[in-house]
Amino acid sequence: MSTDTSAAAPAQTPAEQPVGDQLPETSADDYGHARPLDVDHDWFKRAVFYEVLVRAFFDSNRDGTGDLRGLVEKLDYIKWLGVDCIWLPPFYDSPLRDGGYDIRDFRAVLPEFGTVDDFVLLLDEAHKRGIRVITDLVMNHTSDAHPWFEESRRNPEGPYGDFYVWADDDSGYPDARVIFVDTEASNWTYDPVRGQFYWHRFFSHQPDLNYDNPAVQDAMIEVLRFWLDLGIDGFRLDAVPYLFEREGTNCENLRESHEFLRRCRKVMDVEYPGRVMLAEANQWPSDVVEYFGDAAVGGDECQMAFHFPLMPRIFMAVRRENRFPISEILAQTPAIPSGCQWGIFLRNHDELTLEMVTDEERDYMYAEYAKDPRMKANIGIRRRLAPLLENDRNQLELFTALLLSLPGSPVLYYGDEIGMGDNIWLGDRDAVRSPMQWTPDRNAGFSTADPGRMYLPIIMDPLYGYQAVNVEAQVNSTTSLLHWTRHMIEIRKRHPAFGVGEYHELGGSNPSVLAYVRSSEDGVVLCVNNMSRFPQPVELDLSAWKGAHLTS
Amino acid sequence: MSSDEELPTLLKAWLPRQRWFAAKGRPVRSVAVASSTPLRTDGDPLLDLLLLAVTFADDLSVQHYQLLVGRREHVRDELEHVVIGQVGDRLAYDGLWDPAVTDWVLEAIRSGRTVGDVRFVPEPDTRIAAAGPGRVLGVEQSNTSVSWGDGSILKLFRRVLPGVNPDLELHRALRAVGSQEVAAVQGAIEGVLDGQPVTLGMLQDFAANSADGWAMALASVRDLFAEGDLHADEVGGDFAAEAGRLGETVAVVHAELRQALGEGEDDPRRLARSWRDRLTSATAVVPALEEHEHAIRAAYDAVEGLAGTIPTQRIHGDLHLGQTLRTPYGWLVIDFEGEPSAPLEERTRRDSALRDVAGMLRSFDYAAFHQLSQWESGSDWTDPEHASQTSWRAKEWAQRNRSAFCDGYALRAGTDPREQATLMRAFELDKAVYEAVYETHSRPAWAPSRSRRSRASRPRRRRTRASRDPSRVTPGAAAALSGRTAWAALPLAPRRPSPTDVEDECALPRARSPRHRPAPTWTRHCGPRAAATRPVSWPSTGTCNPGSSGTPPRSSAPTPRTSPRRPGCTSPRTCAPSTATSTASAAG
Repeated sequence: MSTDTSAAAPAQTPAEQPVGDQLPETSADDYGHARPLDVDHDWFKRAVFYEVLVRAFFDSNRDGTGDLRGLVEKLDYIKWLGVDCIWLPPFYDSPLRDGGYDIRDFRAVLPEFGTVDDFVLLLDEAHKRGIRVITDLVMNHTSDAHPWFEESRRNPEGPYGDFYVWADDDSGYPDARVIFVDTEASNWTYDPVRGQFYWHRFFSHQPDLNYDNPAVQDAMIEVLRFWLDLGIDGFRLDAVPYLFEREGTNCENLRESHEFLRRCRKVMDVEYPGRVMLAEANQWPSDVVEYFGDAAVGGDECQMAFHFPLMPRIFMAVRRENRFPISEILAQTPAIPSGCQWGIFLRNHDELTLEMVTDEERDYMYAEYAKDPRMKANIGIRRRLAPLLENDRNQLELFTALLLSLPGSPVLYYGDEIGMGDNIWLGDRDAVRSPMQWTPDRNAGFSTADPGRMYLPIIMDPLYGYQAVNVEAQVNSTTSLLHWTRHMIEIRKRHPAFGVGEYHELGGSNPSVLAYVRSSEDGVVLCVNNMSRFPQPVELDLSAWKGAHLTS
Repeated sequence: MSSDEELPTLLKAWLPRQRWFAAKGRPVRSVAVASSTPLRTDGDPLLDLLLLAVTFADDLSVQHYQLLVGRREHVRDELEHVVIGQVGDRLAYDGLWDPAVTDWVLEAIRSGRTVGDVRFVPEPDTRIAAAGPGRVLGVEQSNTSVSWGDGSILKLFRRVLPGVNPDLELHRALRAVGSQEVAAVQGAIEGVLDGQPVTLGMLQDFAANSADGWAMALASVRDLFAEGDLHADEVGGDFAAEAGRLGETVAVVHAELRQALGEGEDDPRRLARSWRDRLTSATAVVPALEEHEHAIRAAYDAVEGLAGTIPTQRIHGDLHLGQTLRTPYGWLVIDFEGEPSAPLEERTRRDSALRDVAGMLRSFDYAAFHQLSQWESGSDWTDPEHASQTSWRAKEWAQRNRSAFCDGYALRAGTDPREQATLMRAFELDKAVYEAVYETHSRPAWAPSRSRRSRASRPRRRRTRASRDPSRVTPGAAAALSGRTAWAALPLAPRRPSPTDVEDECALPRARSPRHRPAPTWTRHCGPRAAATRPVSWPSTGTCNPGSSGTPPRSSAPTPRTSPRRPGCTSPRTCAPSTATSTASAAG
């Protein structure tokens, strides 16, 4: 592989003409490739992940929008924090009607973020620091501006005519729920060009790909190969439960979807060992474990999957000062194959999703954490961690400690390590996507552009504004939340049990105390969390570890 | 056997010191070995299962107790605290603390051994914990329990009564119908006493990761008081959802008991008669009850006037929050022994399921006022004119959770207990009368200290005869009765039984000091009762006192009652456990 990342071919669009009706696609050979890290089949089990929005992190070219080269400039900060893997939400070419999840070209970078070469540079610089990079790949659908869709609607008989799910009426698959209930009335939308309805599980401008068409499957696997060749360490596969549709089902978690994931995994294992697939399946754990695949072989689908229901229950448990919401969901979480790992998180770029809770629990979460109706979005709450917790340092520490010690690999959301705020007056989920606050200077040190050019306004309120909350100030104060978070990450990395160990809850008669043990060959870690705001007594049965001595 | 002479002499001194000895304070005339079954006759330790007959100097009654006596030539340090004394060339001790003994017992049940009259019986198709050292669980009132990991728990009944213990009987019946709402029974130890079968022990699934309902409820109340002025439904620690699920669980258990053991019916006149009998004998013990006797009898009369019969079934018999366990899978109901002071034939008789419901509803009242009574131990929270914001909010919490419990119960039972207002009222009153007697018997020592406080802080406002006469009535009874006063002031007697009526009733001030909380069969988990009976042991796990930092407050000045409330309970001292506070106020 080439190590010269700057010597990539300049053109993003190849010059050659389409063959027949086929659209041209770029090749990974057109670019340089990043230097790879050593192959490690378990790295993701021990890793601390950090979700970064390219747009929001650092602006290197004074246009008011963060970009890939800006992110490269901040890799030292990410390294300093102790992060092992960066997760980038989509940076692909897109009309940006859904934060980039509406992809117009799977093999191109959104121009305002930079180029594919910039991405290879990022990969290379990250690998140089021992940091891996994964990115979102939206397999389920494309933007309606994607050339595939343009072709499909224009030429039903052409090679792309069957790339999407078309029907003469909107009566099919009536049992599939509408996910974006705030904006969409139906999963079918009429296309006047083709004169048919197309299927979409999300926004109507995001038509679902038709995975029953082998050509679609092949095309998507070529997309995987493109980025893997450049050196990417894995994918967060967006919306995987919805790939296939079958009449008479809710069109989620279908057998066919799993089969396709197995096919993808095989490509990864054979051609790109050590790279991971992380499933985004907002489902109950008992359904999500299906995405790990066959336990007998250690899992043959995704190595990782997000544990969605855990997150709201952490909030519930702390608000109720009672461990049982967490105990309950973990008790209901089945064992996962040996080669797999949960991804757990407190917040991310989406709303705090409340799909995986009961109606009663959802009402509770809204009442407790979304007192202003503007804080709600779809089925969830669009706020950042610090405002959710009323900026209570004790709770921020408790939540972070839980994130770093409960079973699974933790995924931090950029800015939460310094306790950044949100702006609920921005539309949709932009409330939690404002620019990273680096310094108390202009534009929070995020950009030197005219403040009016910012892609979103910097947070400026007195409590969370950039002059009060920023990296520079917190780096200089050893008692800051940033230092505390960094220290806790360091502790986590000191004990492999947090990543690969067994989880055993200890119980105890005090319901306000959540105590558990993480144990592996390398040691045993006892974690005792006080879920209440008062000091609590607790008596724990540690007789199983009789004779063990306490180290710290 | 040499122990025949030496051991009874030692036990006469040792037995009354045991927490589970039910006749504390009574003059023991003699302790005799009624039966002795040698379980291990060679090696170390030797092990005998003894049934002891205890007689008293003050009457002719006999009580029987069970003891697993181990004997070793030398006992290790960790057994010293349970040594009974030297018997022959060996030291005798309470064997439950010896892993060698508990291991033997577990294996005996697993393999279904019979030794003499004692039978170790596994239930069919059960999974008993793997062998290993058993662990004696915390503080228990009447029995002693040993657990093995998170697999099994053995409850050894200390006081044995002839006949099958209802705890075992009902657990077996519930297992037979596949109940998920109780800890499944895994086996039993059965014996013979005076020619009759007796239950000696019960082995069950162990819900290792659990907290009892009392601790759960107190955590919620604590959260409520930590907020300045939020309503019970507005705070994060709202308990109503749990209370509702608890109501569902109790309703399911009732249905399972009907399914397993059938139904019957009772004559309301007989019920009323039994309540009146209890009231009459209670009034002799607690004279302060006289003041309310008329109103209480009117409530009983109203039941007598009901047409038809009252459906009956086997019930729990002593249901309150402390008899429930929250596990990661939901709620469990535990300890089906019934009201322990009642004779066995009464505990095994069919009864109205509403008696259980009434017990739970009163438990919510206790939980609501537990913390308040600790903050301001001299304050009479039950005074109808006591209009502090905190007491109002405590009432609101109790009302909300009582309603939620009834909602949950109605959801599963199909009938809402609140629709039977007349019966519910009578059952709750009967329970209150029982509690007044129980408190008087169990905690007479508290009366003086509290009443002194009471006088000092409110010299001119003594509302009840109870508080004027500390030598005769406990603070618990006083509080309960002033609650009665509040009831009496409202139209207690002839009422229209309607749901709104009962809903209304939920709002009535019926605060009781937690000190008269009836938890006679406190079991394997610590709780308020445990705290109450251990005046100096702190921390009392499970009571969840805010501010409890693990050390006892040394000199907490009683909180001035002018302060309407103490948001957040910022000072640990004001949130001291009941025992510590009462000690302090007694000293002051």
